[in-house]
Order: sequence, then structure tokens, then C-alpha cells
Amino acid sequence: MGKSRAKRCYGFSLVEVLVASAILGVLVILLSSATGSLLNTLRNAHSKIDQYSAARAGFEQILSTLSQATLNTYWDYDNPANPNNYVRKSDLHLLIAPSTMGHAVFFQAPLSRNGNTTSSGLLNAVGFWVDFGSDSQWKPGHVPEQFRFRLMQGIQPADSLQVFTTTDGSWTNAVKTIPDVGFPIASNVLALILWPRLPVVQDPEGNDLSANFAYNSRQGSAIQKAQLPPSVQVTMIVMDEASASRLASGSAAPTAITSAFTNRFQDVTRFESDLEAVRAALTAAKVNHLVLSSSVTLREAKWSQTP
Amino acid sequence: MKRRGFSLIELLAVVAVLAILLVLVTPAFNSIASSSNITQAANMLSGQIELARQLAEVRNRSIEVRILKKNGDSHFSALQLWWPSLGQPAEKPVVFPQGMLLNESLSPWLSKMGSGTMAAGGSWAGATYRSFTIRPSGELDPRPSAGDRAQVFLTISAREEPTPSNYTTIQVNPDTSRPILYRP
Repeated sequence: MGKSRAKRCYGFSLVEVLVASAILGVLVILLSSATGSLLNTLRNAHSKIDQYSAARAGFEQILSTLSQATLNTYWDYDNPANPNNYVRKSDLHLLIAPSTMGHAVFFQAPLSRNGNTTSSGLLNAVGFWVDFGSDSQWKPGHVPEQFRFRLMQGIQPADSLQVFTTTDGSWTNAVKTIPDVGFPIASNVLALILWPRLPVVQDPEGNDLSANFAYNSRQGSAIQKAQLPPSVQVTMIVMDEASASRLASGSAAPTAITSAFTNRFQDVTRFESDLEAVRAALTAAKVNHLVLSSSVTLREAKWSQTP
Repeated sequence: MKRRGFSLIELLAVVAVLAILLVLVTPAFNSIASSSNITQAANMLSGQIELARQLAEVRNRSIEVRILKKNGDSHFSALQLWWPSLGQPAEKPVVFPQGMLLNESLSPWLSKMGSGTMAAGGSWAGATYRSFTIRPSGELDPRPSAGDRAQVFLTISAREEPTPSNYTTIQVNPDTSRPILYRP
């Protein structure tokens, strides 16, 4: 009995070895899928950090550039042919206007960009706005096209400044030409909200300068004419690339996003409640997002309420 | 006696199965290794451009980014930052991981760059280079003409070919010198 048992258990049969290796194979597949999903999670976390870091850099750029905005305010006859009194005037222009997503801002700042010369202190026209669309105008030819919300920046060189050639805001069209002047600075920026206001102690409601966020130093109300707002509260709403690629639906902007912003940010007294509503709508659509907000002081603003 | 162990045929069958599995798995690992090398090279390139931009701003001096091709090599595969006004290097050269190179057919910017040869002395003496300059304000010098603003990009891949299966393209914003990365 003992001898025959020993004889029977001497080695594994081919079938046993095959079964064992099959079990091993299943284990390896399970393990690799587990590590694969771990890698995916890591990659997502990384891309999220990358994503927001580009948006943060863009946000910093808006703050630092906007703080250098300038106007050349002077006093002159209201009507040179038949003068009645003196009024404030400026050849330069600061414009905050509603845009496709939130607001756009255009102004002049001494950024010293002038083609191939290196002289400093030259004036440039600058614009920041958010757009949804294709990247085909600037992406490398071999890269597949992508439709995304983007934060755009336009810097018009000093030698092609057009602000003096018009009396309204039409010079901003040239600042928005892509890619000749405008270029993207961050992807997946959903909206830019710009709130020109006086210091909070002086103006707790924030509606003394503008009730609807718009500001126009050329054609705006008497308080806006030819002067800079002392400060602008800049708010930016950003989503991550994972949410963006999930919502992407061809060349049309995702309705989950656009509907969240419909009729929002048109009245400064509703700013907080609008922001809450937008965040709630984005969360309901399972969009990972981040709100960046900061107030920037315009150093060149010489605030005076005398019209 | 039949149950004493494996027969030669059985062992051969197992070895054959193992060999087939290995053959199937290796290409997957190769592609993982090569894609991690591409990522590393792309991070090097975009990191050097970021560093150059920051150095130019901090030192208030234009900086040159040199893309190096070793003597006798057929591809550009290293970078060095240079102070043109001082005529001296700003940083040590960095070399792409083994096998990674600048894909010239997908890097139209290269042909618009300045070129030169590294001076004698040092391990890169005699190497040819292409270079672009970043101003303290962050803009590229010379400013790309309107039609060329979208052509400011470089592509890294494992081989020189017009349609690589894996690549990373680094575009540079001509106003701010911030890199934008594209991966397939």
C-alpha cells in the first residue's frame, strides 16, 4: 500500500502542472490589472496637478499684468470748438466687457514688447479672455485637434498699437487675432470674472463703479471716464482634463458647462450666489473644478470721484 | 514506472509555452520603457525652457537655449543654457535618455533657429548646435513673424520619422516662453 502510494505521488502529471500554471496566469492578470488601475490613478493625479499649475500660472499672469494697466489721464476742454468746461480725458483705454464665458479685459501696460528692439518701457495693448473652440489655429500639424475651453492672452507689440486709431473699443479685435497676437495660456479655464470695485470699506456692495461688471474708460458712466478702477477682483473657474475629455462632444461646447453659466455674473450684488450656483451645477455634472480668486490693485489708478 | 516524473516531451511543451508567453510580453514592456524615456526627455526639454525663462527674468539678461548635436552624431540629443552677453554657459548640458532624439521632420522651428559650433574645451567641443534666445520679459528673440507663431515647436521621439507612434511635442508660447505639451 505504502509503496504504491509513494510510487503514485512521485511527480506531477502534465495536467497538474498546466492547472497550476493556469492559476498563476490568472493571478498575474489580476495583479497587473490592479497595478494598471493604480498607475492610471497616479497619472490622473499628476495630470490634475499639471493642469491646475498651468491655470495658476495663467492666473498669476493676469494679476501681474493687470496691476500694470495704465491710462494717460489729463484735463481738457469738453468740446475744443466751443468749450464749456474741463473734463477728464485719456487716449488709452481700459475695457471690461461680457464675453462668451464670463468677461474679457483689454488695456494698455508697459510690457516693452516691440519686435526685435530691446528698448524698455514701451506700451503694449493686452487682452485676457476665455473662449471655447478648436486649437487648429496654433497646434502642430501632426497633433490631433481638440476642442476645449481656454484662457487666451493677446499682447499687441508697441509698433502695431491700434488704440489711438479708434475712439471706441474696436481696437480690441486686433488684440484677439489668433495666433498672430493672441495665444492660449491655459486649457480648461471655464470662465474669467472681473469685478472692478472701490476698496471694500468705501463700497461694501461693490456696485459703486459698475453694477454689471462692465467697465469702459472711454464710453462708460461719468465715474468710469478716463480713470482706472482702484482694484479689480479677478476670479477664474478651472476644470481638470479628465472631466473635459469626458464631456467633450465634437465642436460644440458641452451643454453641461454652458448651461451652468447661462445668465450668471451679470449683476455684482449676486456675485456670491451666482458663484455658488455655478459650483453646484458643475458638481451636479460631476465636473472636478477649482475656483481661483484674488483682488489686484491697479498701481496707476489715481482715484478721484470728480467726473 | 510511467509516473516517475516528466517526460522530455512534457518539459519541452512547458518551455515552449513559457517562450511564447515571453515573446508576447516583451514588446509591451519595451513600449512602456520607451514611452517613459520620451516623457523623461520631454520633461527635460520643457524643464530647461522653464529654467531659462526664470533665469532670464531673475538675472535681467537674455538667455540662449542651445540644442546640441554631438560630433559625428546624426541627431540633436542634448541641451545647454548659455549667456550670450557673457559668452559663458549658464548651466551644465543635459542629455536626453538613451535613444531619444529631436525628430527634425516634426520640429519646423529648428530651421528658423540660429546655429553655430561649440568652442574648444569641454566635452562638447566641436558639437554643432541650433539655438533660440529668451528675453528677460519672457518673449522669444527674434519675435516669430505672424505666420510662424504657430510653428514654434519641437518633437521628441525614439526614431527620426514623419509619423512616430509615440512622441511628445513641446510648443513654446512666443510671448511668454511657457511650454505647452502635446502627447498622442
